[in-house]
Amino acid sequence: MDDSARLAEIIAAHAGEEGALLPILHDVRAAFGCIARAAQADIAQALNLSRAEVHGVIGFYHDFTETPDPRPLVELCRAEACQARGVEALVAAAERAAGARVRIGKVWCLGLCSVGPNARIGDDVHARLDEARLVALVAGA
Amino acid sequence: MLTEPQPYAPQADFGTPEAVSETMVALTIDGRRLTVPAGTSVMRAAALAGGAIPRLCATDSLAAFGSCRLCLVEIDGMKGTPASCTTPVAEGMAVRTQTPRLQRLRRGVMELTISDHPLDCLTCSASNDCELQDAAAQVGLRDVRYGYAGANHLDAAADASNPYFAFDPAKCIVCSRCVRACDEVQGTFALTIAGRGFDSQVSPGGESFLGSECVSCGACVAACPTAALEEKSIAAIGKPERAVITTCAYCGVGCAFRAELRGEQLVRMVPWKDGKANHGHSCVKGRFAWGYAHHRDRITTPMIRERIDQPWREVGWDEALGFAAARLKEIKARHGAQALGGITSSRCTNEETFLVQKLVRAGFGSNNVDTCARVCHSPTGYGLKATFGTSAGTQDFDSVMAADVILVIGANPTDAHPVFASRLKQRLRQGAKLIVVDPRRIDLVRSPHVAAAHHLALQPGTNVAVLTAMAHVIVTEGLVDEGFIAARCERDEYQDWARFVCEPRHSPEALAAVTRVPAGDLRAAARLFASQRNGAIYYGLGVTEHSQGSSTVMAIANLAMATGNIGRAGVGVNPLRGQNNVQGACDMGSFPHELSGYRHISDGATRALFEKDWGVALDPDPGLRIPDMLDAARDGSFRALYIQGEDILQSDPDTHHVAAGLAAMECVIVHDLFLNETASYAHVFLPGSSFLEKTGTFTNAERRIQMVRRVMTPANGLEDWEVTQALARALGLDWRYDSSAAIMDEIARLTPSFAGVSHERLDAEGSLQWPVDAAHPDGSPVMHVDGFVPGPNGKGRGKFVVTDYIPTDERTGLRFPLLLTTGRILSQYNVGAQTRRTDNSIWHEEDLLEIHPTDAESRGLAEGDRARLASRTGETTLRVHVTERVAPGVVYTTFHHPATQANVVTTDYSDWATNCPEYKVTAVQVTPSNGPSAWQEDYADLTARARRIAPAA
Amino acid sequence: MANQIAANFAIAGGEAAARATAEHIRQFWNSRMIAAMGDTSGLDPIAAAAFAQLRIDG
Ligand code: SF4
Ligand code: SF4
Ligand code: SF4
Ligand code: FES
Ligand code: FES
Repeated sequence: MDDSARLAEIIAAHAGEEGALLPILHDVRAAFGCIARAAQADIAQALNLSRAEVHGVIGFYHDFTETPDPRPLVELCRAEACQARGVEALVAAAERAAGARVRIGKVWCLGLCSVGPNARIGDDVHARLDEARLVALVAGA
Repeated sequence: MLTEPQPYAPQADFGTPEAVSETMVALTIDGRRLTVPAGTSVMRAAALAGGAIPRLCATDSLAAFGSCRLCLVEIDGMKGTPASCTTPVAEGMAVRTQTPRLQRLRRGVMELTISDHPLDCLTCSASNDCELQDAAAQVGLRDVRYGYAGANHLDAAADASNPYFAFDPAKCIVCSRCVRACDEVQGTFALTIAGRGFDSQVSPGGESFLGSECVSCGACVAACPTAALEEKSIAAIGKPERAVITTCAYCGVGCAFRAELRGEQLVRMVPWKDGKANHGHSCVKGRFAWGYAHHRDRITTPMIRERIDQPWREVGWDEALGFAAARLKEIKARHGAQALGGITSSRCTNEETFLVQKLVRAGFGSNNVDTCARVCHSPTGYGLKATFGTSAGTQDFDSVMAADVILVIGANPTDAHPVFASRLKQRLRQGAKLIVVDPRRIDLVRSPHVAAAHHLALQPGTNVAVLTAMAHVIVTEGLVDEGFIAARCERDEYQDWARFVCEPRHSPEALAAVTRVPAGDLRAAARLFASQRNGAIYYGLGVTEHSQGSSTVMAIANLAMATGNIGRAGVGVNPLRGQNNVQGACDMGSFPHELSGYRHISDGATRALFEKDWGVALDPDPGLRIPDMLDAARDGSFRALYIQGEDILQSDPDTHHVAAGLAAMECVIVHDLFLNETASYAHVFLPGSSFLEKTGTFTNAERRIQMVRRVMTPANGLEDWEVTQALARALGLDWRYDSSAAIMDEIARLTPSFAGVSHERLDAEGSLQWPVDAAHPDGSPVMHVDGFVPGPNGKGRGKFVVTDYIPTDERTGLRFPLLLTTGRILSQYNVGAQTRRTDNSIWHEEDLLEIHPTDAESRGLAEGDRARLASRTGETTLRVHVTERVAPGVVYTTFHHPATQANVVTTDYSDWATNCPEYKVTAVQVTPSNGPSAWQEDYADLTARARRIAPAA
Repeated sequence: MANQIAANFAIAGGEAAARATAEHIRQFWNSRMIAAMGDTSGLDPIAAAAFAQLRIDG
């Protein structure tokens, strides 16, 4: 199945749903790793939205990007509790360890506030990070 | 008074939209008592009371948003400091707008905003016309505690891709007014706030403005409080210093504008908030495409030549007028008055049009006067007069906001009547239902946040059949409004009509074979239309420009009467007029058979009125129409034509026929801004003035008479009415109008429906909708409220007219298997003489032929290929655009560029009743081609030669 | 042209159609165009009848 057929299938699967945009964007991202401009236009057309509106939603959520980023992603929680527990001091080291190979993302609260600083890689959440553990995580990502 | 140029000041802004309510609410603001309609915001109430509350995200063209928190107030009995823009007034409320606490809070908000804003006010193009500056001054901002060193957007790149305005993100305060203007006012949804939190930025969908969905209406620019979105002309020229209210000269919406100038230089055109047709909105043409007025092609010196194969000779006014008058007199002496005629323009003012037809009738002595409305809306005149008793749309534009179901037939409002389309879309977003009857999938059928309930994609030329089938469903299924018909319409005629439409041969099932509209869809659409409380019908040239144009107009009127949709807000029959003054040109007696106010020339009493006023005898015999004049020219009985502001060679059908007729004449006088295509056949060229250079009135599609005001001195020295008067005087007529106001006084004196109209009243009241007479002293937003216009034999009752579907003689066959239909696009206007001479061409460089993928494929044509388009009358070439907007078997093009000469292929078939040409249906063949057609090459050669101007001796 | 007008009024039936056609032509045509029609026997019968009436009425 080619890409456009796959996209059409995803859109069709949510046709008629109330608030179909976000579920479609999630599925498209899962299938293609990003939401390319051409796909945005098709989604806009299908949902009778403007391209700008779809673009706005994509820009609002850090999860969605227009181009695929094949780099592994380490998401570091930067919200208040983790800040209080010192996450900001770890950022520089994490970024150094990441270099151009790994992407360090931001998230806002992973729901483990009491055991921060926390990070997520894929579906795995890692708590009680210190610099060494975080650097190791990044290196192994 | 609107006459005097106003010193420049921004238009008043009350912060939130006007609330309409019967209930009035009393409150006090800073101790002052006032009463306002319920639903008014505290902010608006304060502004009305004369005390403006600082604000950034609020403006009165948009719903309150409440994001900037600058407009905080204190209200007795309410906790905290509510935002005044989002807080409605309540009875007995006591509001304080200025307290130390509020001052502190507002300063804090302002400091945050300013900390990410460049402090280069002195060199900023918006300086002194900037709401951010105003707000800073209002809150007494003196210092920014956060400093300016923090993260900011001061280096963000500007977007200057749009030819008329630029976006400078460094100046943006992310108030989102622009985004909301694009959504709420324009309805295009081209902007968004991309990113979140501090990264938020206005974005046209991640593209450049030019590459985005933006249609360049300018609503966002008008809404922006800072220099972030601003007309480029402000940066180039500077802040305007005076403003004159005038009316757009492009389309029949008739948007009111403020022309803002420095000295004699026009800086920008800004839609006027108090304009009753547009309420402060505009489209790309009126707002930005006025540069043509000073284009280098503009001719400002009169020119003459003995023969059309000679180069032009520039001469003075006296010589040109003397030359023209001598020729006219000589032809009249040799061949009689019937050899002379004139063509008025629906682009010129009412006053100018009235004078041209007066010159023909009283000066030339014939009734050979016609107008370009012949080629667009003459069937409206005929059809609405036959059914409703007068020739005009029944509603004002505001009426659409009360419609529950809207039927759009043969019109493409988003392209041709954009400002009306924006209102229509507002209403659709509020939940009204839409039915589109059009061979093409126009934007309204589906575009962001609007979708038609039904799109009946009929075969071109079958409007009458579709409407008859709809009537069949409505009558046979008992959906008729019996009460309305009994009270308001002629009974016998209704019964004849009902019997006719009930015949089984008119069922959707039977007619599907010709209309190609599935019967189920048609039935559903008819039921929807009949079942809603208020049903409104809007139509355009896709109705009139057919051999059944008049029948279709009558079928529409029948449908409206049968469903009781006449005589109140939200309903009615609404012709969308193409050019700005089509309505006015028709009202002013431009047709050969009638005097102003639609009174037949054979009517002795009316003629006597004019004869007494003008001091001449008038011919009771209807004159020649444009095609008749051209025929008569070829047989030698018609020899002289005065054409004001029209380009019949490009706009009239069957170019070869027009060219041959013009070539046979001995005196063609073209009065225009440019050497247009028709001027290639002219002997006299009288330079015209643009709408910015003259005073008069236009009448828009809702019968609204509005002032056009002289904004600058005419480049050619004279306003157009002065040119016509000078020609009349050269012919020996003793005309002595000292202003166009005097012409309007004569119109009012001679035309009952204009009885109460004068420039003085228009200056005082802004606009008037005719009839303005003893029964309607303040004009008539909605017509036929209590009864229809009494005709010569009617008693003011609506007349159903049986409209038989007589197919056009234009048929597809083996040689010409496709049907061509024509239209226009947003950025261009009519034959394009004006818009092509502006940056609007960036959106439409050439006319394209839309063709369905299957038709393209079977002809070996791909997107962008050059194709030969041939009909039995001629051929041309143009590039193809392959799209499913058109059905298989149908092709579509626009006619904005002379090089395309789409009318080389249109035929001389026309409306049976009015001769309105059948532009909308031509049988054609499309084949691949390598280059311009022989006609295009000959023609390019001919125009080049015909446009030569002899070097000054 | 005349035939096209007649066709659109034909639904009214013979006599009435001819009358309507004649009236329409009287309203919108220049009298010289009516005179120039010459022999109208080749026209559609309704149109021909209309011209016959126009001639009688002058
Ligand atoms: S110019 Fe009009 S269409 Fe374009 S972004 Fe601004 S409001 Fe929207
Ligand atoms: S561009 Fe202007 S209107 Fe739009 S968000 Fe920025 S400041 Fe507000
Ligand atoms: S062209 Fe029409 S819609 Fe556009 S500004 Fe002018 S009058 Fe308004
Ligand atoms: S703040 Fe980091 S997990 Fe809640
Ligand atoms: S003006 Fe009221 S919150 Fe911005």
